[in-house]
Amino acid sequence: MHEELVGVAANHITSGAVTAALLIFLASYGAIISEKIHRTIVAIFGGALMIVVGIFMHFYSQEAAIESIDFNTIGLLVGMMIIVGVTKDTGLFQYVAIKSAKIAKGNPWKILIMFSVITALFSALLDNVTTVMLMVPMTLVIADNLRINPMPFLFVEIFMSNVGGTATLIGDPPNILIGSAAGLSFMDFVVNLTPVVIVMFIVLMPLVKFFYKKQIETSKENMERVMQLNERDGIQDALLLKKSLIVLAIVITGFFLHGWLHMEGATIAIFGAGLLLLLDKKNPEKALHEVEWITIFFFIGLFVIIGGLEHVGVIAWAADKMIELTQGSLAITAMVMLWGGAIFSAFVDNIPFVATMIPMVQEMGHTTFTDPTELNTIWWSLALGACLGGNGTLVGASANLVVAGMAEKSGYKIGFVDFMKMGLLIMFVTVAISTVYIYMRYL
Amino acid sequence: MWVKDYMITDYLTAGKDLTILEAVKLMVENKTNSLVVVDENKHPIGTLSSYTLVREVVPAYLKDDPIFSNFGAEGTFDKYAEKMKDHKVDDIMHKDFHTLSVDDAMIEAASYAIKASRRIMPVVDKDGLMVGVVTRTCIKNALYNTLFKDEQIDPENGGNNK
Repeated sequence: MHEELVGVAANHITSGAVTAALLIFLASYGAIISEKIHRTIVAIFGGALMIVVGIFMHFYSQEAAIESIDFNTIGLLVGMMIIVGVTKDTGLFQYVAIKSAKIAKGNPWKILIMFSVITALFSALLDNVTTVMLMVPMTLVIADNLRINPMPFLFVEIFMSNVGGTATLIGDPPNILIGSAAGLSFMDFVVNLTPVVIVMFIVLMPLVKFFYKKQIETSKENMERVMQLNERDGIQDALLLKKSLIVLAIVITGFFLHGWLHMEGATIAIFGAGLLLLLDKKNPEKALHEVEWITIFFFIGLFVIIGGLEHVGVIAWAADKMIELTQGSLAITAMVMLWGGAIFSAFVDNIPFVATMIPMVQEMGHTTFTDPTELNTIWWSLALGACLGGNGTLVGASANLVVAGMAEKSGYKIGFVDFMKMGLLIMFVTVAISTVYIYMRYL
Repeated sequence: MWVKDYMITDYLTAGKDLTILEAVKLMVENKTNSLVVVDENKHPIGTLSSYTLVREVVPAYLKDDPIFSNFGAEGTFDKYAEKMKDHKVDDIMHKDFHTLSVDDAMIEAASYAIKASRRIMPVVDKDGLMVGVVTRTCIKNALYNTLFKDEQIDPENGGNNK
């Protein structure tokens, strides 16, 4: 009876349709990984092609494609990008960075600790790319003042942005995707991921000290130069800075309460963006220009491509296969997600990976892990793996590439292999910590 | 007003293999803010101005947002000047410059001059041979002559810019 029903429901899906959808998906994935064509072009064209082919082969439509787009993720990203875009020109972040360097008394090792904390904290509350785009120039300026090599700082900031981003719902795109799809709240992330991220931070600092402290020593005279800097010099618009702080406070409070308020993340972020634009009252053109539409369209295209794959049943099939392989064991499935996710994300973009895994995990929630606490274990494993894998190589996360790009243009080339040696170690340590954490807390 | 009336025919050119170091020397010695880069046949292939040179000194991380330079260390300017001095003019010159012809109206020169970074525009004759340049000084002279009809200046000598 059951099989008959499935047979009827899937009747209009021909094997040709499955092949076509799978080909479009694999070709898009291959093109994204090869980086020969910009990933956003691939996503837009691949998504459109999936709809066109889907209409001809009766497995997809424009309506279905639009339904596949997770507008909560899109809204959350756009809202936060607007808020950050307005705030970053006020001088707030420069103020915080200089102030912290002075609190550290200009001592390079203490500044490195301060900048690690700031990078991790900002990455947890804002997006990683913005965080590093603010931290890299600040670091280079401070390193010039201290007459030291900025390279250890740049490495550590990459590591801390990926580790810090893991901590919250809004910290890293995989978490936004997971939180939105699984209905997990900001507080759920704070309760389940933030503690282990704090442990990682504490474990990583001695490691960083061992490798880098000697490389960044400098003279008293150079430290004095940092102490002479005036943190207020960077403030461009004190009034807007205050307004930005108020909005950021409202938004972050909103995130902490959003599960309880029954509001989605996008509602909070867009509300904050709207409020800040209203308080600023300037022409919104510049603020909207700051939104990374390239990333937004990448997400949209990706959702549409994966939606097509879902409609032909490939995702459900793959989920079943994976459960077969792990024999339905929660522990094995969680470890595959964690380690598989980390290794995969170290070499390719974690966004398409997580976007593909999400419907698979949802499918497992229908078939195998029907207990929500079991399913959540899978979600946390996926989030930890995908986010922490970003540290493995220079191409593991967008933030890494942004740092490398800015550094190279300023005369500091970060070598792929140089980075990978340290990156894989950091990834291994943090994923190992996650393994212990998942076993102790959930299994 | 016509380009041909305000262009200057005594202008500075350089080859694309010049280093930045040599270009700075050439421009300072000739007291000019811009020059035209030409190929072996004297055809314009790029333009260079003091703006271009300054742009090379400012490192990428400060170009995006000068706010960070408020905390810039003394010596940073020297450090990046030293780093870029051996780069070739070919790598930094503006290749998307606008070429004027002797028969163009002054408004065309003015319109292109306000587009960022274009401090100098080569002027060619009907056969495509370079016969002069229009700089912003030339346009300023044209502006003077159109506003002060009683006291015309000689465009060729009016400006201090070659």
